[in-house]
Amino acid sequence: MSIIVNLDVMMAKRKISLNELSEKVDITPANLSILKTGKAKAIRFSTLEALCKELDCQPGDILEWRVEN
Amino acid sequence: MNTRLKIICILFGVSYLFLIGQVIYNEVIPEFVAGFKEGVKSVAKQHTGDETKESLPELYSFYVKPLSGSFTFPTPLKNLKTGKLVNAETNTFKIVLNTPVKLPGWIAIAKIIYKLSAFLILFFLIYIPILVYKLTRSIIQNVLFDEINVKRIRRIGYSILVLFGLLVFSSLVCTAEAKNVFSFEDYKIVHSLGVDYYLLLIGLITLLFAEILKISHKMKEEQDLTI
Repeated sequence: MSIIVNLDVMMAKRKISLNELSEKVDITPANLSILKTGKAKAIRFSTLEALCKELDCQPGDILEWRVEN
Repeated sequence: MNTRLKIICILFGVSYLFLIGQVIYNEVIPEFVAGFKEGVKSVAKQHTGDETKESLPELYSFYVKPLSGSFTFPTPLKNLKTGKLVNAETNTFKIVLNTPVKLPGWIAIAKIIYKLSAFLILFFLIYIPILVYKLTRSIIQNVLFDEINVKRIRRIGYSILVLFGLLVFSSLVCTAEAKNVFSFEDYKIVHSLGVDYYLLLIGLITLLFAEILKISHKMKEEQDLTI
């Protein structure tokens, strides 16, 4: 998919672990892992909002569009 | 598990078993018994030294239609309840002939293919219930939206359609053979599939259901991967 999820980059920048973030945004670690590894098909606005709030960033910092090869 | 789905599954299983049982009881067992008796008779003749060359009887089964048209009831039958004659009409004939009839080349070849196709029909008659059983068990175990189930339903659909094709072919061969051997006063031999036409509809509906399930499976997958 040409949409890249940069959640791992943001998590590294904020020095937060997957389990910690999953507790804060109330998402299971399994689902957050799916999102982090780019396996997710879609993301809810509520999830994006919670992630942006916890990571103190913009949606564009988490999601990125790249031209598909 | 959804109770309605469970009830439908159980009803489906029971009616399928009933259908198969009915076919076996009404068609397969009488045919087998008749064939077995003929075989025993033939062996007994050989043992007693009866050297009269008698070929095995040939069974013909085909559809007929009154020459004067449907619902004209050309055959008189005696009603034993009242002792009076009643007008009747039939749509199928089953005739047994002890004397062999020489068939034209193309019918003879088609008949060989038809006899070989009986093995394929038998294969599908065993294969389809196995797939139905696996599918029903899978649904009862609460695994409905699965790629394997989609494949199973698709296989059932294609198998039913192939079975329908084989039955059409066998019916055509039987009709052609009967037309070559018989000619009746009140009836004409016609090609008909009887209830086998339902197989075409069932096959197509099954394939349609498989496609619907495939789309549903994809939607569920997307739903599961929406975080």
